[in-house]
This record gives sequence, C-alpha cells and structure tokens, in this order.
Amino acid sequence: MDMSQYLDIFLEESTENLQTLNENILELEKDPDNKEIINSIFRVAHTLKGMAGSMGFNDIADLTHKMENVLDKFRNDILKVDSNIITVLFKCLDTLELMINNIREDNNNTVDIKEIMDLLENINNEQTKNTKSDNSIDFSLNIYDENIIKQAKEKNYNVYIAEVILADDCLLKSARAFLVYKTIEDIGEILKTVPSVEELEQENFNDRFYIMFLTQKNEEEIKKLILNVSEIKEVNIDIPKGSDLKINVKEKDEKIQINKEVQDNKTKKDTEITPINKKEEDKDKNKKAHQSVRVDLERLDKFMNLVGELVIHRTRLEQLSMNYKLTDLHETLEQVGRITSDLQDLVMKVRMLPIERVFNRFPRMIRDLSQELGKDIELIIQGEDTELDRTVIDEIGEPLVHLIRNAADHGIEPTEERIKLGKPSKGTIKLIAYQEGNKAVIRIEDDGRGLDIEKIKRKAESIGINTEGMSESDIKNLIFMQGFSTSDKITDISGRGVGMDVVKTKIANLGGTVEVISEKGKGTSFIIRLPLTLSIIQALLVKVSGETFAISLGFIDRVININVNEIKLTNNKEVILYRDKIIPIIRLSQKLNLEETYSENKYIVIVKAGEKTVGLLVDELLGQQEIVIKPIGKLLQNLKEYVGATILGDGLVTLILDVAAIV
Amino acid sequence: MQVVIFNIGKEKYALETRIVHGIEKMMNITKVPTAPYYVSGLANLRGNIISVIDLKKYLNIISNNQCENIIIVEVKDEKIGLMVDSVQEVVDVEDEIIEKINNDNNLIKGVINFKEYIVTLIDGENLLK
Repeated sequence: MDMSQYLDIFLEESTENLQTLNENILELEKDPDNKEIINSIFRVAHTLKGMAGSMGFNDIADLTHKMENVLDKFRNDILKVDSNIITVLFKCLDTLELMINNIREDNNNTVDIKEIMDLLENINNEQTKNTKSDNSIDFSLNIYDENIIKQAKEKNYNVYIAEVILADDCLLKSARAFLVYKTIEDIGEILKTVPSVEELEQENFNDRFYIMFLTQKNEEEIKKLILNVSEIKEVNIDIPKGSDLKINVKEKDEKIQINKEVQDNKTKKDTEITPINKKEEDKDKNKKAHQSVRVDLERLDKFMNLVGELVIHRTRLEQLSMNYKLTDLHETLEQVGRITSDLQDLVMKVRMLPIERVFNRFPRMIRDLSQELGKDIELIIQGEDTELDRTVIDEIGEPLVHLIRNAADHGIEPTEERIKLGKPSKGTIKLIAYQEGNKAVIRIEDDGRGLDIEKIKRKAESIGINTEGMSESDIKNLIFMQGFSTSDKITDISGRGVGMDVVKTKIANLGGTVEVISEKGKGTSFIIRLPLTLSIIQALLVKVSGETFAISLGFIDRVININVNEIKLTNNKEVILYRDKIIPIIRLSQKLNLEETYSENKYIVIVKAGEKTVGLLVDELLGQQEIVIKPIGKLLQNLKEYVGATILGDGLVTLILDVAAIV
Repeated sequence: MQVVIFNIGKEKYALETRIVHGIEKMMNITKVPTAPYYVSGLANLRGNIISVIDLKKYLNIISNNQCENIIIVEVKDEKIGLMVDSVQEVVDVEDEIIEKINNDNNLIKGVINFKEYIVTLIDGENLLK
C-alpha cells in the first residue's frame, strides 16, 4: 500500500503527540502521583506507537513500546517517578523527535536507538526485581466474597489464583482475556480479577492478569483448559493460603469499608476519582474541539482570495446601483456588504493560531537549562491563548528561544549570588502575551541582574560608538546591534554576539518591533510588538505622479501638509523643519523614477523605520484603508521597494511600499 | 502539438497550449516603477495578482499596434500574463512542419511552416529565465 499520502499526517500528528508527551511528562515530574497524567501519557504514547507501526517505522514503534513499558510500571505503582527516569524519558522523546525529523527530511540518517533502548530496559529490569520482592496484587475481598469462599470450601471447592501471561505479540488482549474468563466461568465461579473486569475489557493491562476463582477441578486441569485459549504464553496457578484470607478477614473492618466504598462508587460511577476524570475528559473534549479540522494553508489562501474577489465585485455592484439609482438594489447590496465583511473577518480568524503553539516548548527548555546551568528557575507563562497569524507563529519561535536563553544564562544570577542579594533563591522568568490594539505583545521578563549600562557603554566605545548624550534607554537598546555581546565568556547557551541582532532582524521581518527595559539588580524585560496578521494591514493610500501606492500605517508617525517652498537644503540634502526638528525628505517620485507632477501644495508622510525618521513627499492623500497583502510574484520579487501588492475595491492593483527599504 | 497563434507587429508567433492557462482581453495594468523595461506591470486576474510582460518589448519588436489580448501562461507554478497585439487562433500542428532552427536564442523553439505564412514557435519554458 502506498503510504506516502499519509506521511504528512503522520509527521504532523507525531510532532503534536511528542509535544503533548513533553508537556505531560514535565507535569508528571511536578506531580508524580497523578494517575490521570500517566494515563494521558500512556494514551498518547500508544497512539504514537500505533501510527509509527502502521507506517512501517519500526524503530519508532519499538522505542515507544519500551517507553510504554516503563510508563506502565508507573501506572501500576511498581515504579516510582523520579527525576532520573524522567530524564531518560525526555531523552527518549528527543530521540523520537530526531527520528521523525529524519523521516520528514527524507534523509537516510539512522538514529542509533540502542543506547536509549538499554536505558529503558534497565529501568524495566529494576522494576522486575521490585515486583518479586513486593507483590502488590491485591486480592482483598469483601464480606460477601468471603462468605462465598467459606460456603464453597464446605462444598469441596478450592480457591485458586491464576496468573495468565499473554503472548508478546498478542493483538486482541481483551478478547483473549475474555475467553480465559469464559473458560474459568464454565468450570467454577470467579470471585475477582486483577485488573478489574472493566479494565480487562478496555485492554487496560499489560501482558498479564490475575483471576481468583472457585472450582472443584484441580490445578492441572485448569491449566490445560486455560492454555487451550490461543496466544497464552504462560499460566501459573496459585492456591492462596488460608492465612492470607484470614489476614484479610482480620483487617476486614477497615478493608471492607474501603472496598465497599469503592464498589458503591463503581456502581454509581461517581467516585472521588471520577469527578477528576470527568474534568479531564471535558478538557480533552475542549482540546479536540479546538483542533478538529486540519486544513491545508493553501486552501485557506484560496478561500481568502475568493472572499477578496467577492468584496471587489460588491464594490462594483455598489457603484452600478449608485449610477442607476436603484434603491432596492442598494439595500440588498448593503446586506451583502455586511455579510462579505463578516466573511472576511472569519477567514482572517481561521488563519490565526494561539501562541501556545510556540510557548509550549519553553517549560521543557527551562527545565533543561536550569539543570545545565545549575540555577533554580521558574517559568511563568501567561496569555498563551493570544492569537496570531500562522506565519508569525511559525517564525517567532527562534527569537523567543534566544531571548529566554539569554534571560536564563545572563539575566538570572547563580543561586548563591541571589541569596547574598536577598532575592528569592529561585529565579523567575515570565513569558506574557496579550493583545494591545491591533498588535500582539509578547513580554519576556526576568528578575535577574539587569543590564549593566557601564559595560554596554564600554563595549560601545570599544567598537567605535559614541554614547555621549545618549539616553539610558538608547544605550540599553544598543544590545540589538550586530556583533554586540557584553558577555565576558562565551557559553554554549548564549553570548556569541549573534543573538540579539538576529532577534531584532527576525522580528522586524515580521513587521514587529522589540525594545528592552531594564533596571540594574531588578531584572530585564524584552517587549516584542507584532502585527496580529501579516496578510492584512491598515494602510494609507497616497498618489505619486498619478500612481497610487499604499504605505503601512505601522511605519507612519504623522502626515503633514506643506508648501514645497518650505523644503530647505542642507548639506545638499532636502529637509524640512517640523516642530523644531530637522527631518530629511525623500521625494518618492524621484526614488521610483517617476516624472514629478508640479504642484506647490504637497504632503509629507513622516515615517519611522528603526532609528530613522524620514519624510516621504507625496502629491495627494487618498485615505486610510484595510488592505490584503498579496505577493507580487517571482518575476518582480527582487524589487526591494515593494513588500507586495493589493487589490483595491475598484479591482485595481496597487503596490505597497516597503518603507524600511526606501529610507 | 496544439498551439496558440498570435500576432505581434507584422509577425506571427505561437505558444504551446500545454503551458497556456487562458486568453484574456486587455486588462487594467498597474505600472511598477523600477521594474525591468519589458514588464508592463501588475494585473488582477480573478483575485490573484499576476505580472504582465509586454512581449513586444521582450522580443525587441517595433510595432505601434494596440495590444488587445493577454495570454496567461503558467511556467514553473507561476502565472504570468503576456501582452500581444491579438490572438488569432488555436490549431493542431504536425511535428513535421516545425523546422528547428539553430540559434543562440533558446527562446525560439522553431519555425512552423504553414506554406502561406510562417509562425515562430516560442519556448514558453525558457521564457523569463
């Protein structure tokens, strides 16, 4: 069968599953006794194993299987969760991720899984030793069962406990268990099974289960009967000693109560555990509802194009109805207009994803970093449901990684130093996202040592920047310059002088800005502002030499009306004086090789791009409008003056100027 | 092979229909200042923005005729409009009547000899390399 068509789905879902595993295992480390987390890990691991198996990636399936074995030990309380095992599990996830990446890139790199398999095996073996010393199968019985046993014994029935071990490759575990159950039921009466019958039905057990029953047959006969069921590897029959039962009877006051409670609860389906289960289920449901449909991004783009088209034709219709003065038509068109704008909003929203997608990898990263650096660091995440355009989500991860690593490495002081300074020994890094107007803001705050202004000044002077007369915040923002690292030593984590300028460029490419606020000894905050979507912007439409252009409002500081005679020359460059400031002027017509239209009355659009403030001279202002950015195609893509083009209401294509490239 | 035959100036040219996506009437074209001389600009093709090339300028043909049609071709997953004077017809041609010509210009695939007139066959794949 050709599996290639499923490969994409497999890759995407596996990546998602691995992420969930990462999160859950992290959670488990904090809350080792939470069975619900273990179960959820188990479920995800199982899905991963199943998918890898059916796609023929046996290495992945094997490794996941080994991991499942360990998890199973947690679930059955045979193994205690400790940080060593967690580390091995994380290693396991990393290996799996590597393997999946190799499949994605379709290279033939094979990942050696022997080492990690051995590690897992070791954990497994440790467990086996444990089981032997600590047989935790609990066959405590309630008073009713005990009465039956008493009566049965009088009638020459014997009590047995059968340990049934299924074959390793057994596929239908629950079916086999059921057949064994049936077989025993035919020859006697079943008192109890471990795990419970429900769990057996749900295949909620590993390779073995136990059945306690009454029968008149002898051990050999029973064994033979059970082994008649196929795919059974081994059957061990035990006769519980009378004393065991007696102990149970002695302790029965307590135990009966507990058992009764459990039984009652089971029947009511309303135990103290179930409410939690239910909550978890609800949560799961929510999650499912959020990610129920996978849509190719290309289809969404097409969808958006079609809606855009609809808007264009609506505008045409509106013009026609005005021309012919048809009131009825006009009213209908107003309705259509409302619907199309709703539709447009909806398409935009469909492209948005919660930033959780990016944030969810950081708890794991902080855990690793704090181990690596020997610092105690806590990560607080807020506002992970803030939504951003898919493109931004894809790109923002890398700069955030840089900033968080910096915060952990340079920001947070070593524990001893913190204690000396009277700070809490645990360092805190906050990652906060929220929406502010049509921008999304991400803040990365640490409570570490803050930026050292003197150090930055020295560094700046050493590379030839004059810091005299610069404000403190200007000096702090120097760290975003290329090759600017004040770290004395280069570590694996940060300080190679590449981080910050890359961060800035990357964010600028997304149409965003980054700034830093810092107080010495108190901490540092990086504030990133990003447009909510990349494909729709607010723009000012201007006319230059008869052509219309759009300028993103994000760059525009203000627009002023001037008389061309106000333009002055200094150092052979054109400038204007505005509020006592000298602002250099760029004539757009000149910049774009267009013939200048003569008029005394013109407009200056004052734009800010990075540190530069420049006035763009234009002929006319046509107004502000929301526009959809569309690519202008390969043929013209190396023209750096434009970021793209858009189609206006009248169907005409208009170029969008790239202010950053022009000034 | 099926080709679209069109006129530019006094000459006739052809493109394989395999790469032709459609034939449009002249559209509104937005000038792109700073673009290469043969690019007439951008047009709105049913919600998609396409670049339009003036084939006349691209092939260095002098003609004062008005462009009536734009042929939309799809090359390397990208649609591009080619401005031509007028589209004449779509015909099937036998490979035998195509005469290969050797020249440095790999834009020309050959010449189709229809006896009454000849048509230059443009290699669409090599357009805009």
